[in-house]
Amino acid sequence: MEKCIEFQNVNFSYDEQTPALNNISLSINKGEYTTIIGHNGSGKSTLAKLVIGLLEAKEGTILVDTIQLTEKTVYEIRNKIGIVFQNPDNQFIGATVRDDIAFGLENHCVPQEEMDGLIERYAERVRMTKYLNSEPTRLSGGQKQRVAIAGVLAMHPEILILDEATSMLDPKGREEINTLVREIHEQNKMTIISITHDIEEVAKSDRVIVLEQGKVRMQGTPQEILTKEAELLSLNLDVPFAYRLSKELQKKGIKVSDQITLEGLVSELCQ
Amino acid sequence: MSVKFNNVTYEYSPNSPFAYVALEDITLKLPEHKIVAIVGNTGSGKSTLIQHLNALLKPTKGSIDILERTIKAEEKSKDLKSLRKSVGLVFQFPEYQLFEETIAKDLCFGPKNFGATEEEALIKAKKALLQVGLDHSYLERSPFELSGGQKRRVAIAGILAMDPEILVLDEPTAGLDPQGTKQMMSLFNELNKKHKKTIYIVTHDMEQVLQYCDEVVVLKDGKVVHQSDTVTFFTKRELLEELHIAPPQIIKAKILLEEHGIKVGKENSMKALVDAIVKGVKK
Repeated sequence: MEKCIEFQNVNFSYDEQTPALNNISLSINKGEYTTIIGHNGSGKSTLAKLVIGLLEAKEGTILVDTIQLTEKTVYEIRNKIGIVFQNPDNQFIGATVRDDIAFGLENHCVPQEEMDGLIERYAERVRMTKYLNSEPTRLSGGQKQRVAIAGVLAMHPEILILDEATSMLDPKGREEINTLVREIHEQNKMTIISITHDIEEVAKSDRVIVLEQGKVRMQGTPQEILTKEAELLSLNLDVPFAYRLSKELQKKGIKVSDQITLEGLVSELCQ
Repeated sequence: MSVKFNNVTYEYSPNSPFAYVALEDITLKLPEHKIVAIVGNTGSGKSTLIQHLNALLKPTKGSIDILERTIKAEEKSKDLKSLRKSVGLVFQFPEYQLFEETIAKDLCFGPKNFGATEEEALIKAKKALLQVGLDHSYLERSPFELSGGQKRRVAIAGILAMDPEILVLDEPTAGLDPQGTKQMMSLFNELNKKHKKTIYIVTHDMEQVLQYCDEVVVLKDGKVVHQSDTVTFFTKRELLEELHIAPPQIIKAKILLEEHGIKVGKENSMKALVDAIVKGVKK
C-alpha cells in the first residue's frame, strides 16, 4: 500500500520535560480512512499540528506524499491538506458564512463563478444553506463545526485531517457529517485522518492507531483493536457496546462472534 | 421553587439584518433537586435558553420566575449579583476561562467578587476542589499545567466555590475521552444526590441522558416540543426519529432486535437485552 504520511522517529515536547510525542514512527496509507484514538493528552492533536507544520518537530522526519516536510516544502504540503480543528472559533475569518467558506477557495485562486457553485454545494451538504449570510460568531458550536467542515471540503484536499471536528454536533448531525466524509472519501479516494473519541466512527474506519504518552500503543483494523478490552480500558478508552453485548451473550451460551457494531451483531443473531 | 418560563421569546439583534428569533413563546417549568437534560439539535435554542437562567440574556418578551424572583422583558433587573451567585452557569469549554496563576487564586476569584473575605474564599475554594475530586495539593499549582479534563474540573470548581443552588452546564463533556466523560458525569450525579444541587445539563449524548438524567426537555427551532421523565422519553420512537435524535446503544439494540422479531421488555438494561435475545434465539 502506498504511504501518504510517514513519521520517522519524531520527537516533540511543549515544555522540554514531558515529551508530547516520544520517538514516534507511524505511517498512514493513501486513500484509507484512518482513525486515531487515545485519551486526552496522548499526543493526537500534536500529531496533526506537526503534519501541517504548525508545530516543528525537535527530531525526526515527516514525509507527506514522499515529500519531506521542511521550511521550504511546508506550503506545498499544506496545499494537499485540509484540516478542521476541534474548536472552530479558532479558524473563522469571514464576516458571513459565505465569506468564510470562500476564504480558502480565494486563496487557491478559484474563479468567482466556480467558487459560488462550490460554496452553495458544500453549504447544502452540511445543511447550512439557510445560514450563508449569517455571521459565524452568531452560530451555535455545532453549526460552526459544519461551516468549518464545508470550508475545508470545498477545497478538495488530497488529505483531510479532522481533529475532533464533530465533537459539538448532536449524534444525528455527527452521523450526517461522518456519512458525508465517508462518501467523499470513497468518491475521491481522499485520505482521511480522523482524531476522535467516537467509537462508532472508529468501528467504520479502515484502520485505527491508538496513541498513549506520545507513542503508538496499538494499530490495526477496527475489528482487531476494538476487541482488545483489557488494553483499551487500561488506556482510559472503551470497547463498543456491541462488543460488550456479544461477550454477555457468549457467557449465556449463544454462539456469536465478537461484534463491534450492533448492526453486525443483530444480523449475525438473526441469520 | 422550580424555574418557570412564561411565554418567553428571545430575539438576537432585533431590527437589524441579522435579527434572529432563537426562542419563541416558551412556557416551561423546570423541577428542582433533579438532573434535567436539555436536548435538541444544533441551533435549536438550548444555549440561548440556559443563558436566561442567570439573566445573561433577558427575554425580549415574557418573564422568568427563578429562585423567588422574576425577570421580565423591558424591565431593568436589580441585584443580578445574587441571582448569578445562586445560578452557576458553566459554558462550553470552561477551561478557556481559567486565568489566574494558581488554582487557589482562580477558585477564590468568584467568592471574593461576591463579598467573601480572603479566608472565607479560601475555605470555599478548598471545599469546591474536593467536590470535583481534586485534593488540596492542587491549590498552589498553575491551572495551565493540568490536563484538559483536570482543567475542566477546576473551572467547574470555580463555579461551585460560589455555592450555587442551581448548576447549569452547557455540554460539559464535549471533547473528553470516555473515562473523563464518565468521571465528569459521576461528579454531577454526586453533586445532585449528595449536595442536593439542582442540575440542568445541555447535552447531545443520549447515553448520558439515559444513565444520569431524571427528566428530559426537548427543544426544536426555539420551541419546547417535549418534556417528560427519561424512561418515557426513550419510548417515544417516532419523536426520536422526527427530531433526528440518535438513541442510546441499548435503545438502538432494542429497535434493531424488534425489527427482527425479538421483543425486549420495558427495562433499559444490558440484562434485559441479553435475556430477550437468549429467549428469542432459542425460539
